[in-house]
Amino acid sequence: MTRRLYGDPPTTLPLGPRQTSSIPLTPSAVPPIQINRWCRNGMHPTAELASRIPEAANQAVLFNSKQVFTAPPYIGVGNGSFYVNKVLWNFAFHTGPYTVALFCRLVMNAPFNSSANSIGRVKIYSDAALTMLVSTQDFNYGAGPGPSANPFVFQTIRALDKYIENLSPDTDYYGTVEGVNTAFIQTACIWDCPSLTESLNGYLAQNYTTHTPILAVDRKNASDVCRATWKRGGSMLATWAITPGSAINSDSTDGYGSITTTSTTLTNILDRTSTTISSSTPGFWWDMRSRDRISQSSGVPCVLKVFGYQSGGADGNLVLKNSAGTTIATVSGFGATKSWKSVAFNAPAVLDKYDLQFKVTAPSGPRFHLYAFSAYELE
Amino acid sequence: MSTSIYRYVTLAPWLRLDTANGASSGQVRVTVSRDLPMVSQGSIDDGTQTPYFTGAFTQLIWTTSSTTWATGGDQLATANLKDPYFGMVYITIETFNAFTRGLAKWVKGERRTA
Repeated sequence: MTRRLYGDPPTTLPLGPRQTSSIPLTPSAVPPIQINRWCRNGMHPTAELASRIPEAANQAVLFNSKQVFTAPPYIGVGNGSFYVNKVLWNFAFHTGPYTVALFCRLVMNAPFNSSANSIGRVKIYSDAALTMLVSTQDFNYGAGPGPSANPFVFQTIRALDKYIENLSPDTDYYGTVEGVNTAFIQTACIWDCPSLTESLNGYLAQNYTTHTPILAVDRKNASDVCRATWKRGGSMLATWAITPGSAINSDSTDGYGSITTTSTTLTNILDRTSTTISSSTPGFWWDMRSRDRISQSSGVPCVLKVFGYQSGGADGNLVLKNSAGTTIATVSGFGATKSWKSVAFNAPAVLDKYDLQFKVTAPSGPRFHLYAFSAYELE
Repeated sequence: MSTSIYRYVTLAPWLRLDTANGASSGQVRVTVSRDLPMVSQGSIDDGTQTPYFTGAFTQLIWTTSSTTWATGGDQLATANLKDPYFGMVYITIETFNAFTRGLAKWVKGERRTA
């Protein structure tokens, strides 16, 4: 049996009407559709316009896919012992309506233990408690140059690329990036790969000529893929995860794997001191302009997911606030074991800074451990 | 009508002055590059060298004289820097007598014809 590769034409699916089995365009930016030239009143429809509409739709679906994870800034690199079989980062994401794979790039440097075969490992789970493993992908860096080599040099940096396949479209997933055998993963970037042959019946044809009839399906195909991508694309707003071993970001009470709080006062998760929102408190700028549909008068539907747990019996809260200090979303319900918790919220369709603050719900003893959050649009 | 398409990213870091060396002014430098940074030719790669960039890149500098955390002013980098195949860029953040918490803002702008 011949193994098919990502992007290969479909072998079993029949091609849909006005669809093709091979990608009819490149990722290069296409010129704008010239509405005033091709869409004048009384003018016959032009083949150029008929071709440009599916071209724009193909490009929107295929080449404007989303990043599902990016590693946080490496502030205060930790000791090598923190990288022994350690989950470095957690993330959550939603695959788009045509996603079939993830593309992963790990930038790795020589391992702290030069004789070990160091490995970066990405795992994808289908459940919030990280018990149902869907896929594992290893990035083999190998051994270091020598026992006395300095790992913080440029010449030993490698960018390692791999695909993670067999993911279902329009589905929630949870991932981890793990260092094995003292692997030194400097950063990671993961994004989703849509395909119109794997998850639809072909790419949209864009080879119209003067005598090609323009059918209803020509409009429908372009409309359908754009609508599905807009509504179910799961465009990422932010991913943020603690880097274990960072003396600045992490907390010793959990082996430097998380940040924690025992305070009942909401505190900024980035500087861990600010309690009042201002322009100088650290947060995330989200540009939500033009992302709402005309029927969405209360903003853009989004999802906030948080990975953590509580010890001591009281719940933990992670609260999302806008620049005016108004609470936009609150994630709660954390148990005694690590798990992802989520909440759906509406983000106003404006450009604004959002701060995230955390706390415990009862004083004297309880502790909230926070590892990561992911926020994305949905619907 | 122009058939050229441009796209820019608006970015700004969190920064404040680091007075440990007695400096009254500090800088945060953000480089958006198509390729990984490397050490410059002829330099000893001993972990102390500043990164050297090849290929297409844009380098932006923010200066501060305040010890209070703040967001730097908006600056633009062209999105044309991205790798034409994978569509990605590398971001390198460096400090000189300054602290940073990374990027506070990374907002991709609309398609433009100028």
